[in-house]
Amino acid sequence: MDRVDEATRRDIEAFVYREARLADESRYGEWEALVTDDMHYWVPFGPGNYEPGTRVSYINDNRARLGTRIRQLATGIHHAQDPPSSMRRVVSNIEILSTDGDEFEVGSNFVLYEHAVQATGHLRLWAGRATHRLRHTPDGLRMAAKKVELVNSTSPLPNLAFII
Amino acid sequence: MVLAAETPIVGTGRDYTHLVQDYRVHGSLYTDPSVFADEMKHIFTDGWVFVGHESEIPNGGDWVARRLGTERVLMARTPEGEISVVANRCAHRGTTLCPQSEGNNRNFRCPYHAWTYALDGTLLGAPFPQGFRNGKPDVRLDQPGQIGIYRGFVFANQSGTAGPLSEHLGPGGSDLLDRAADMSPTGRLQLNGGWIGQRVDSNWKMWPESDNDGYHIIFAHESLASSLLAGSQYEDVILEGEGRTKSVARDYGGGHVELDFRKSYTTELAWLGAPRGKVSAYCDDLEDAYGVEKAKSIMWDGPPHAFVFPNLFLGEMNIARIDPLAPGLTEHHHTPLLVETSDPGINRRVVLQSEAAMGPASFFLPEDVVIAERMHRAFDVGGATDLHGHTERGWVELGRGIEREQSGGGQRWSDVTDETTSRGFWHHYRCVMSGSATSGPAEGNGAAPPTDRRATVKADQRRCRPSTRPRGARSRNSSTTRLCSRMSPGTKTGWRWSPTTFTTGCRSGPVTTSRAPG
Amino acid sequence: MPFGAGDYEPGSRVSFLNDNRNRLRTRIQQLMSGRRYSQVPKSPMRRVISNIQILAVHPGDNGDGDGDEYEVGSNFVLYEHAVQATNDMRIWVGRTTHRLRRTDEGLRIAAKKVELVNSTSALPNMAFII
Repeated sequence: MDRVDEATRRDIEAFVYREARLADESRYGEWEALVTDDMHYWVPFGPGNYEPGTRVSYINDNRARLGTRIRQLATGIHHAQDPPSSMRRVVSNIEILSTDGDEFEVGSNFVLYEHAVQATGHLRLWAGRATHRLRHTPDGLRMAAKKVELVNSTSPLPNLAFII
Repeated sequence: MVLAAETPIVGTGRDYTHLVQDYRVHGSLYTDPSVFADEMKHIFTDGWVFVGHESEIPNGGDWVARRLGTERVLMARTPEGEISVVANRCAHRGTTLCPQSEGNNRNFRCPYHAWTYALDGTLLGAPFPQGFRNGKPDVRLDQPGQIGIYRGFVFANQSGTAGPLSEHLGPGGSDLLDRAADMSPTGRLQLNGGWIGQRVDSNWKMWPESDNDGYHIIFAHESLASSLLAGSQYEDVILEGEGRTKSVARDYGGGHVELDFRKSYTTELAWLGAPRGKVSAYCDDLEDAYGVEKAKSIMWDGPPHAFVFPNLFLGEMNIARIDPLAPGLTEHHHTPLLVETSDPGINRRVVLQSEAAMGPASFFLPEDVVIAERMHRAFDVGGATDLHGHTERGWVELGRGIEREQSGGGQRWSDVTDETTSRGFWHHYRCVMSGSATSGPAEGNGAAPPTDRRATVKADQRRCRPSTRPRGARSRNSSTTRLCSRMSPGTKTGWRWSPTTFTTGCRSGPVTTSRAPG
Repeated sequence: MPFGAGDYEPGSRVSFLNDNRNRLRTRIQQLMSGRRYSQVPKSPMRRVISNIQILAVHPGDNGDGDGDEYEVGSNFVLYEHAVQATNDMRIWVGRTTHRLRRTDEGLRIAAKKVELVNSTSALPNMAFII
């Protein structure tokens, strides 16, 4: 791992926490403002060690499809998130895995508690690892990629209709 | 306590000819554990069940774990190239042999006492032979009474009493599988793109209904319609309205049904959402393989959106299987319909379509899941005792379009928004659950729809009959487009994920948000 | 990994784990044998670690930093997908106390104690390295 200065590290950690909070609160417009134009959003099946698109993933969004996803969430008639799930992410183990110029690959573990209020009322638990690719831009740090590897991604999952 | 003056339904002897009527079914069919037990016997043991596809296990020793109803099985390829289906349960003490979902092994070896089986389930050996009469236990892995394969689709019948697979599929089911398999220029599908499962807290029968319901699409999935931007052809579908689309709901008998979009496509490859130039090698391969005429037909028609009783959903560019686990718990697994072709791009497009349409994070299926879960709860909570005790209330209405339904040539059809497909499923269900071997073709039954519903008697209902070949005349000239094709491929990431490193300098160009994907 | 609070002398009563270096090596070799069926296939898992605190510093003999030891406490939640039989999502919660030693190769673990919140309950398999 390349070393980064403490101020950069604090910025990166703050970004990861902020991204999690906006997702927790279904503030999708603000969340979307964090992404770059070439954003790639990926939730693989099993470990994310394959080329996205060569086999089926839960989510494999480019920027355009992510835009559609967020517009669908914002319609107010997306029944699978109507009403939106109440959620909290506990994020830990934030590590800067590598740096390359103005980009940082950042790993973290998380557990997400979701109250699936739409039908079953279950408290659902999602646990896994997020890998962010963050980029310095004139507007500050932005997210160019996010990969979420769920611990139990090989099991049949319930609805994953929010932004994870 | 005074019950309503209707037949009390107590114990396991459910009267399915009463619970399933031509235009309505009773809610207890989704929630009653004794109904579920009857289904496991009459449908998933005594009948044919889809297991998997040959292409999933191309090499000797390959296997995948599946379910036949609640029975866990392994579908394997023997070193000789034969397909076998065996119980995933050691014949000695019952240990699960393979806890993984897939693998490749020379044989199945139980970790408990190292009893070892060939891939066809034959016992090869058990350690310390002196303790066994003849040096070896006289057992093998349980296996279905018969398996059958059609166009690579593997089916199994546990009891062995269901008659030949061809009879179960009938001309309607066979034609649907033909149309799916013919999407591949070699005639062989490659279902090796991975299966994704979705857990649903609902009864399994809400899936044959939901997957083949042409009525709900513009309502339940309206959020996606509103999210795709103006100019999308999807909008036309939404605004098309009743009777305007040329798409048709079909019932082929035997529980096999289809939402037939073929007449609605206005361009070739409309189902793919891509012009020929994007997949020209695929189209050339089709012409080389099938000739120009048939290739044209394939390019226009696309893959079917259909259901093969009791658990196989041909979801256009997806193949899905439905696993019932309990009255209120179902798994819906899907895999992209990949083809054998020299074209470098079409399978990538199909994977991207699959990710958009199906699975827990897709644009379509989560709505169906949450609605099925709401349905299930509505029948399961509180009212269950009453619903099981008598049938005065708690019915599901499935009568839409019954008066304008047409029939002939062994099938029924009606407007795509009519509940012909659900009725087709339930009609066969009634025949199977009440002991008839087959529901026969879906022709007219000669009985006018009842005007006084309460007065319905069994004699008025569609009858269970033997099969004949259906007819399939059609034309194409409408403007309706099927939905999944709107979600065309677009993801191009230049960044390869790896556990420890990544490379930059290969960012794809900016993609603005002012355009829908595709 | 003690049974109950780790406030007793290891060996004076039974623990879940009480490995010296040799036994830990055996444990890892067993895991790598491919026949450790309780971890075939391996559980996918993630730990969420928090509250990392340096509890004590024990200087090494030379006073040059080499051999310094740090006692580090942290809390964790571990999510395990138990894919071997049940496919349950198992949750392990507890406190870890590391003793880390500075060596020529960098920090190394000289001791690790894991006190589970529910260690007095009957536990499911814990065949991985916690």
